[in-house]
Amino acid sequence: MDIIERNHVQRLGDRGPVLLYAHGFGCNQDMWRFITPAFAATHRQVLFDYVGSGKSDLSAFDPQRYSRLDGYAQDVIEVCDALGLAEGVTFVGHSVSCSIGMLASIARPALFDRLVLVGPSPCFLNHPPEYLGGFEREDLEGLLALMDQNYMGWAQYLGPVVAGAAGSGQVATSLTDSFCSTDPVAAKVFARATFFADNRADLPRVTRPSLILQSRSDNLAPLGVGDYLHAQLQGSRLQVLDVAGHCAHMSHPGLVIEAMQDFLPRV
Amino acid sequence: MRLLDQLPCAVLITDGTGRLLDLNTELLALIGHTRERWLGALMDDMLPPAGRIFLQTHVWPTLLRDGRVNEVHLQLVGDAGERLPVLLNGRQGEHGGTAAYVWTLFSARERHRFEAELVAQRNRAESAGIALEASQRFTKGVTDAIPGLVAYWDRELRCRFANPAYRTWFSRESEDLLGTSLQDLLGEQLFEQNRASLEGVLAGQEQRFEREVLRPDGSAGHLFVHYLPDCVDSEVIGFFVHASDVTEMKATQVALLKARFELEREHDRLRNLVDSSHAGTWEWNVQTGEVIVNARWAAILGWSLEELGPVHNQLRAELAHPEDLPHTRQLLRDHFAGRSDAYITEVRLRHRDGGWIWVEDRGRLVTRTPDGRPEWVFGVQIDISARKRRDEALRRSEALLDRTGEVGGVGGWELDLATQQLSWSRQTRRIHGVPDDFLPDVETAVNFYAPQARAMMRGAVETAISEGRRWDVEAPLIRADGTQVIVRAVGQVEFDNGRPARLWGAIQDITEAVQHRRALQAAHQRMALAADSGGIAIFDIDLAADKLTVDAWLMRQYELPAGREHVPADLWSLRVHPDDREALGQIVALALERQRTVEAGFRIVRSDGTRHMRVAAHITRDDHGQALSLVGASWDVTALQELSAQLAQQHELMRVTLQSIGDAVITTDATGSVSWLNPVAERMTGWSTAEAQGRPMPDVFRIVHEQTREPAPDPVAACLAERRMVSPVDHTVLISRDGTEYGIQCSSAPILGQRDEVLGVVMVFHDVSEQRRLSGELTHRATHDALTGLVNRAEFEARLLRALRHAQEEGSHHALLYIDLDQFKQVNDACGHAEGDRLLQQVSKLLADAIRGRDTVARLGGDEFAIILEHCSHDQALRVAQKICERVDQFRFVHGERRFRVGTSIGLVPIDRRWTSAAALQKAADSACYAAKEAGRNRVHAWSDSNAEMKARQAQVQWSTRIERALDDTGFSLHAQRIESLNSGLLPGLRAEVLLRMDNEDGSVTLPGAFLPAAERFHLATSIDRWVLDALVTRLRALPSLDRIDRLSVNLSGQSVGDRAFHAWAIDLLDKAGPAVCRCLGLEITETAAVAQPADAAHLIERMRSRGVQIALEDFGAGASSFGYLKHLPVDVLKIDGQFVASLLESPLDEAAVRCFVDVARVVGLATVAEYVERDDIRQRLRELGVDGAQGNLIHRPQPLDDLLWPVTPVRA
Repeated sequence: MDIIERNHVQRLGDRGPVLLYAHGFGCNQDMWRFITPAFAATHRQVLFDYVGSGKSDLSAFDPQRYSRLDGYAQDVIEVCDALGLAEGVTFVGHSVSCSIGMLASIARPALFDRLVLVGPSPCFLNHPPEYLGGFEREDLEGLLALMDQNYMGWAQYLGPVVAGAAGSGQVATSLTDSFCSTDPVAAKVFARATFFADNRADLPRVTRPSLILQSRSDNLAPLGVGDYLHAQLQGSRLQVLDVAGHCAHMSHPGLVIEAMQDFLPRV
Repeated sequence: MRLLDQLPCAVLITDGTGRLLDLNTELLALIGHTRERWLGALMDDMLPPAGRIFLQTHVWPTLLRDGRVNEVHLQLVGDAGERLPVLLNGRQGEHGGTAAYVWTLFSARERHRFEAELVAQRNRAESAGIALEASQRFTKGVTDAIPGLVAYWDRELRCRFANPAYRTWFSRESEDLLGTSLQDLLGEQLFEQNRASLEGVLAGQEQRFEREVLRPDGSAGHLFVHYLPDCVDSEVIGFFVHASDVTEMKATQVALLKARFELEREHDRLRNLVDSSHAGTWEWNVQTGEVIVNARWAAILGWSLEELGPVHNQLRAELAHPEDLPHTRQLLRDHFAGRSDAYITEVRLRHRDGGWIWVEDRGRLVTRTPDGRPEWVFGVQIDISARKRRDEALRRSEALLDRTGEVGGVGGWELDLATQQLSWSRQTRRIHGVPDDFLPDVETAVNFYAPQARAMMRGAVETAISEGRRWDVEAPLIRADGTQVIVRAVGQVEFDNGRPARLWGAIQDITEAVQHRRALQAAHQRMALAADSGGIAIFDIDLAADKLTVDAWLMRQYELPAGREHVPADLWSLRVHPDDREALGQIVALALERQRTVEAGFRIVRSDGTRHMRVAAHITRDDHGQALSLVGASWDVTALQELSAQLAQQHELMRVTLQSIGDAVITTDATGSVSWLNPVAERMTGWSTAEAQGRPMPDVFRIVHEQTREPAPDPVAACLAERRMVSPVDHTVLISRDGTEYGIQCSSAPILGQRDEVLGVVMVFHDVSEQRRLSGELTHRATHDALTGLVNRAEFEARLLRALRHAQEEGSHHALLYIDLDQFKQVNDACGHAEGDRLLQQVSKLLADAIRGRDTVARLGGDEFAIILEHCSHDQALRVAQKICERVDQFRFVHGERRFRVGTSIGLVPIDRRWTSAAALQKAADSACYAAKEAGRNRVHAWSDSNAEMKARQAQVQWSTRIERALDDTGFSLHAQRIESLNSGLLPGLRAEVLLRMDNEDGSVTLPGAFLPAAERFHLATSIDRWVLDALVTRLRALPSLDRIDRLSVNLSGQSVGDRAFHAWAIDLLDKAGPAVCRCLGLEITETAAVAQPADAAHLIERMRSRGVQIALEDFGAGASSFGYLKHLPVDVLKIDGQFVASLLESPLDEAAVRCFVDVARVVGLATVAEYVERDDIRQRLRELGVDGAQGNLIHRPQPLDDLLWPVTPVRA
């Protein structure tokens, strides 16, 4: 199978160290569009979509494999292998991709040089008293219901059911592009993998240095989670950005670029 | 009031991270708390945790990427923690000059419900497959083990499952039963008996009943039956049957019941006799109609027993008032069905003198026949005419009073002073807010008045009694629900013989009138007050003396030193704001030079801050034009100034907001003319703001009703008229300037000014086309057939009922057609189901094209269709039916290189008043359709009142009974007709076609043409074939020698050709008979049967021929002949259809055909035999043409087979 096609891999630039960008749940590689221009002159940048997201090849989606974050980490490694990358890669991940990047670096420590983690959380669920990820199990059920109601149903899923097997494709096309991520089955699997994951035990096994970019106010990754990560990840640097929300790289790309440039070795 | 707050939707404005910069009152109304609580908070706080995740993982990335999100479903958390479904739109915009995000929210309860239903439907569809499989496995396991009878029948009444016990009861094999129709299994009579229960269960009602059933072995059994509907999405798709054999238990129970009935009957009769001394009594045998009445019963009607003679129930029915009969009958039916303990009613009966009398009639069923039908009913009857008359008079007077009261809003009352009994009219009760059965007394009546009014009311009543004066007062009254109203109460006393006997009066609710009056008074007072107040200061400047004279107001305004009448003029200017001084000086100087008045606005600096002032003054000049003095007024405009600054800012905010929200917005002025459109509204209406400005709203916003296409009322006009928010009715479609249509949902709200005056209207609307389309799809799916897109059975029945109701109510005429495809099964068998489906689709289109738009074409199931022609005379309907018949006849279904002809049989029934139920109509249409089939298919049969079709159908049923009996009791006999070789004359060996005859009791015989159609309809053709083949083989085996038998052939029906079970049976029979017998046998298959089911035919032919049996293709040339078939069907003989033979000598075409058949037969090595040879010259010609054999009355008239076998078997075994 052609991994480049499967993961809709895009390469920008042909010189300099490699930055590998991994998007979060609900998104696709588009979300890095405000960051990449800043590194166009100095870095080789690689963008990709996880199988099941963005413009990846949906026929390659295996619900078994992608029901665990290891499956996505495997995507990261396969993309690197397909591009012939063996070392020196800087992994830039957002949200759940931070955990995925850490798993990949545990599996192939030599491949990665360092990790940039935007809004990481090793576990979104609360495990009181020692850990508060921010959410309860039933919140996820609510999320799945919202996903049902929003993008997925209208697009590919409900169309055929409502219009009958021989129904026209009109329904299917009209709303497909409303969200960054659109495949209903894959998105549900990704949602479960993301929000039921607990990678706290993996943190001490990460050996590469990392930059934790933490928003001052972020429901998905509260300040306490950033502190926890910082304490557990050896060689990590914690930088709290004075912003709200979970997508600092989109809402305040300047701050993120600045922090990255500070963290990356001068080229 | 802020403009943002006047938008009829919730709006919030955030920065790029979701922090709230502004929000409107509509949003506060949704989520509660105060504006201050939310300003600066994160919008995440409005959402439950799941919504926060969704916001962060889906909404923000998309919004930050695209600058917009549309129609996101979310829930907000309300004040009390409740979840509020909303639709969220987000747009990048600006706020106070910096980038911001503008969000609009719409309550989405309706849409959520709708979409939740879609999602649920999908989830059901997903899981249904798995669940079905598991449950089927489970059910089968269980049902196989149940000793009772279990089966499942689908909606079309085809068997889908039957457990071993069920099959055993009906003596059917498993594969035999699956797919069988219930009607076939039960037989016509039993099916009719069960019909009501079947209709009930198909309507979703569980059914339980007991039934005596004849087993196939002839013994009677008693079944306790339970029908359980199988519903999917509240539609019945089939039903389960569970039946227990309770034959023995039942016998005991029946005996017990009989005994109990007898006892009860005696008991009841005695009791009723005692009870009913004043009443007429009757006893009625429901089954025979016999009625026994007593003398009193007859006397009530003005007769003596002798005069009446023997009474039959018919007489009672004739005596009853026709209007009462239906109700009476319904009551009796209910009672007989056990739904009531007794039959009790009040009815009118015809008295001997011709008038009507009212009686109360009571009756009770006391016995039933052994099979449970109602038998004896015992009843009593009492004359209640007098009571009825009284009731009626009373009712009339009361009704009149009530009506008058309602119209005037006036209630009446009356108090009898002797008994202290108080009566109120209905309207009086309404004014007091008490129920219609409320019984008042004097004390409660007085206590309804407010405490301060009670003494006055008591006083008024006392004065009235002592002095005879009437009263007319206004008083507050407290209604039963606690609300206070003001009533006008009038009353007066009535004297009997100079003594006060009763009080009567009226009461009227005048709350509204009093309120109006009071409001008017208040307004007058306010106006007077306003005249005294002001705020305008007066000044007078003597320019020559530079002296300023001011009033107290001005001193306060400018903080001038108090207590001095005159002040230097420049003292004033000291207060003017330094920045404004120069400008003010210029204005004044300019005015003094040449103007008569001066006006200026400026700021002053006061101890409490800066104020905005305005002055206006008149300039007095001397004869030379020199200004002498200024007299004028000054007033403070600070508040106004601030207000307008604020207004400007809000306008800007509003404009930005409206520019950026995802919904369309139009604003109008107070006259309803368009003033502004936002970009979305411009796009949807096709009007730019510049073009639309000043136009009346309906020009720009053209809306019509979705279905009727009538212009919908202008929501803005309604909003202006009602001064409140309005949402127009649903189902509106916006037609844009270029004709594009949008399904829309919109709401409008008035824009109110400072003093609550209406300044204009803001209307917000959004596109719901897609949602409507989906909802339409859902309805469509529920009412239409998925395969053909035609109306489905359920919808058809609803429409039929509607048409029938119209016919009954308006006397209109409609027509119903039932259409059956004649050759559908053949296509289905020959080409497969997919092609069968394609055929149905093509025929559907053809049907739909043949009728008018308002008519209904439905697919009832399988290859059955129905059409309802509305407002259509019988002749018109007949023409339409003929047209359909012709079109379908001309139509050819093409499959590969094959072309099929598909005929239709159409039954036509007029829909008019004579029908009492849709079921009767459908039944008649079905019969008519069947009659069309019987008459030879491909034709229309119009139903007529003679019920001829029903008779024809009954005749069919009778035929089927006769056939079954003949099969059992050897009521058939075999005849044979010899076949001659045209080359060598009659052969020494016997060569003949074996023919079937049914023996009649009088010794005559019936030809197959009479009973074969019935045999085919009731699936008996194969049984007949088995009988014939078995009888022939038995005879051949009984012969001592087969030497002189050449070939005896029998005809096989199409059903047998297609029946693999028959194949297996025949093979078994022949193998047992041995090869010698086989070599004497032939089978004749019609060309049509072979062509329609080629695979089955090939299967049978191959197995028969390999055993030495000869196969002939019969009626060759009659069907869709194609020599191509001969290649695939390895037959031995071609039997040329009689139609080519009869006029062989006269028709060159027929001769050419026969010549052609012979040539082809010779090429493929087949023998040919001509049928129906009746003339010698024809025989001669056939011989010349090279036909091998001939058959017909000329050669041999059929005779009993045994007679033909005799000569060759001189010695019988």
